[in-house]
Amino acid sequence: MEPILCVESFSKSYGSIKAIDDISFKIYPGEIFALLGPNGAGKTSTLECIEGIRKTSNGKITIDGVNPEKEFFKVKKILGVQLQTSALPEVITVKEAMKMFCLYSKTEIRYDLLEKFNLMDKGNTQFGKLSTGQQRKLVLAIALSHNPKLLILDEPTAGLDVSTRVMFHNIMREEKNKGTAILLASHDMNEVEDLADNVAILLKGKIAALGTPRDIITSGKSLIKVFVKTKYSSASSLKLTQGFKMEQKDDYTVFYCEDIEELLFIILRHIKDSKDKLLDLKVERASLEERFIDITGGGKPYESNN
Amino acid sequence: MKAIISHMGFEFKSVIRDKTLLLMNYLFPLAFYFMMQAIMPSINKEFSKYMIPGMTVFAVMVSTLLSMPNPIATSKEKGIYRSYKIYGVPLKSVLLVPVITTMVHITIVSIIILITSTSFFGSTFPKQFLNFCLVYFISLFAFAGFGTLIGVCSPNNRVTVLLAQVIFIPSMLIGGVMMPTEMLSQNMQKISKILPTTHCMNALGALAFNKKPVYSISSSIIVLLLGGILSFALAAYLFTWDSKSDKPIKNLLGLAALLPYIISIFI
Repeated sequence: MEPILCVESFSKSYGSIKAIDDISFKIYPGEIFALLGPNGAGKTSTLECIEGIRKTSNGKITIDGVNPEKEFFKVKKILGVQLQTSALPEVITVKEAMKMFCLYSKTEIRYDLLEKFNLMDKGNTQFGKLSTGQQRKLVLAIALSHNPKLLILDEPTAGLDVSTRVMFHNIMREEKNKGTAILLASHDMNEVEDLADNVAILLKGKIAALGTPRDIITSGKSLIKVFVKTKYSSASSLKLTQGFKMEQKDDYTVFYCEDIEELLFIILRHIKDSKDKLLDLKVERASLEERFIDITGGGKPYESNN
Repeated sequence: MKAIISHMGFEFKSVIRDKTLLLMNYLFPLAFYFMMQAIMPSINKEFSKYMIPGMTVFAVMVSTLLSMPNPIATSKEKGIYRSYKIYGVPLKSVLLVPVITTMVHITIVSIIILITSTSFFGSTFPKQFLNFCLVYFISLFAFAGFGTLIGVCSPNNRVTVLLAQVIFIPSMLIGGVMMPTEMLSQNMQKISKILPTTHCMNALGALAFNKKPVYSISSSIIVLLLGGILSFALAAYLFTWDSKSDKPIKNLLGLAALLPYIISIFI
């Protein structure tokens, strides 16, 4: 299968400041690819170059084989974009916006999408008078109006209520099932963990981690937490020599490990040897959020593994 | 074409929907016109003779210089043009559609001025009406170019207001709108040629009202046309889809739109 988006050795500089430094990744049809990173990591610069509204400094970006920088209006036909700030004129009505942009895209006017997004009863309401959720829905409806092959969503659910967020997630899944590739920039780690097939974490303009959410989570050290509570607190006296870290949290002794099987064996044997009684045992896998903090919290960026 | 018509429909309605644009395009020029009708004839009996050109040029100035640039700068600043680009709106539509719709609104105001000033206030109707229309549209073209260029070169609304006032205030004082240019000293007359208003009033007076021209009519027409062409060309060249891409030093090139007017001082 051919990738729909191909980013190869891409760099972007603003004067002497290098915002993006030699990154590469690919997105395939039907894939949700999440771009994560702290503020200033280079997400927006990357998206803007993919969208064709900024020039790349080095490297190559192609969308379905087309260079967005050189052939913007050709790319426009296969690219749908929902910008982070839903910027449309304040006084344009919902129907006017849908009609005007569909006509410019040379597609049929998609009032059906307004129906789908529950915006038809707001058809004559001006954009500035819509709620944030309704504005986002309208912009997403416009982005989907020409059935794009690649959909770029820049923090689509930030600041939205739960029901609207769920609606957005369902739409993303629906589009993915239709074969649309989605490039998602988000700060919501639960959203990314739940939806994304692949994730790239940007840090200081470089890709610090790239892979499936599970790959990224499991690539960290000491990321499984085992909470142990015993009758005589014998677990806290356990001396672990194999690099297991431990700490006391309320009544629980918390162990951090990579190999849960070995750790559980040691703990259970120790409790038995100490003639203690196990009262509670909980195992918690690290989340993408914890791994993200682990990677971006002052860590040195790794090279792209693509 | 359907897209452009739909875009024009929205832009036309936006002036009615947006209170600031409505004020600048209709209420302010018409209120000022009615106020002038009430005050000026008692101060200057000759005012009725140049009421129509003066007030129509005033309406053109208010709409193009004070009203047009703000939505351009705001659209850049808020990322609206960025959305436009992403949704496939071409540059020519972004620049020309607001110009055309503004021209329609100004023309409606000018027709109101033309009809009411002759019917109710006894102002002199243009003796050569076709010439009046021709010079009117050339003036509109020149001012719309300036308005667009100011919007394109300004990073925000505060700068548009400042730049617009640099042309607007001297135009009101020495451009022939409030009093005939002949009343100015020779040196001031020369300086006033840097303002498009002076050339509009000169050409309107001579071609539409059979007044003796203060300066060469053909040079006034050529200066206005060249000024308009240069302004639009520079606006298209300097246009950026968002304020992040603005280059303030490069925007100084916009001053080149004044060249035809500066050269006219020495003709």
